[in-house]
Amino acid sequence: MSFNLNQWFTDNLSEDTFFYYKGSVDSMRVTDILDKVENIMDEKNFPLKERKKILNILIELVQNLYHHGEKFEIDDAFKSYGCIILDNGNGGVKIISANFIKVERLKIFTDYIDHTNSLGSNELKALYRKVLSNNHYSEKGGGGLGIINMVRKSGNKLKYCSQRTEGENFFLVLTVEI
Amino acid sequence: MDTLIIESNSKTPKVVFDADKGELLLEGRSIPENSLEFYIPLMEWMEAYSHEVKTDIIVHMKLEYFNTSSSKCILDFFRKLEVISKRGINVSVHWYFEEDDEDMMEAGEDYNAIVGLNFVMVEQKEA
Repeated sequence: MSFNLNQWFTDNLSEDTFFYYKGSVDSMRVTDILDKVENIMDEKNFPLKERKKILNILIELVQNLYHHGEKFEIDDAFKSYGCIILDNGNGGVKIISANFIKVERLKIFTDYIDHTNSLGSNELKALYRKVLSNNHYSEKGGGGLGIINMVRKSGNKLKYCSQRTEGENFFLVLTVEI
Repeated sequence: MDTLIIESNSKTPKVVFDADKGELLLEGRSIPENSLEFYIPLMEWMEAYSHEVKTDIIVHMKLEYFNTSSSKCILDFFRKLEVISKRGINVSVHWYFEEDDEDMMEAGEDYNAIVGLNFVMVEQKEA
């Protein structure tokens, strides 16, 4: 069965969804998404502590889309195409971030998530400090800290799933529960 | 040496580096997609300053958010200060965080553990 992005997107919206976006993610769009989510949380009186945590994680996810999202074949506007969905349910806030990714990068990325998820809080702290101080900048600047940061700050394991789309592309979905 | 002043915007912090007073301020959000582009001029100023510094230095870190690419640049900034401190200049870093903001407090503790500078953790009560 071929992958249908619009169907996937519709299937993942719910009555708990308070923000969603699907499209190319350039620098202006990153700003726009962050501003809109911040305004919504302000209107809905999210507690300050929770707002900061959500924004910290959202910044990483949205900039992950900016840096790593592959182009969507029917949208040639910008190289990075992504989806963001924020839900606020009884279990807390959930952020879903999804993008296309080439198969050769998928396993590297998911292996890294699996490894980070397996660590306890002290091990995470040690790994964060080690990666931070290793003088290595990835081409996107973070050197691999984003995943560690999201697990630490959310206090939860990152969840992911992927689906082959066309050719060498997969659609990778990351879910962070806060 | 001229004071370095950069106004903040939605993604980059306010910068006031005053060589005469020995006070360095970073305030606001540091979340640019390309952090190196923002921090390179700051590091160039720090390099020049490191050859002229004569007074003790107080660094005020008042960041609301910073992304992971900024975190590497911030570490480079602290490493430059570490080099200066090893020459006998007293350097203290005042790390500000809002009441109950455990993430920002932890971030300060992370830097404190990595660099050999005197960190002062300053909890700010909500207005």
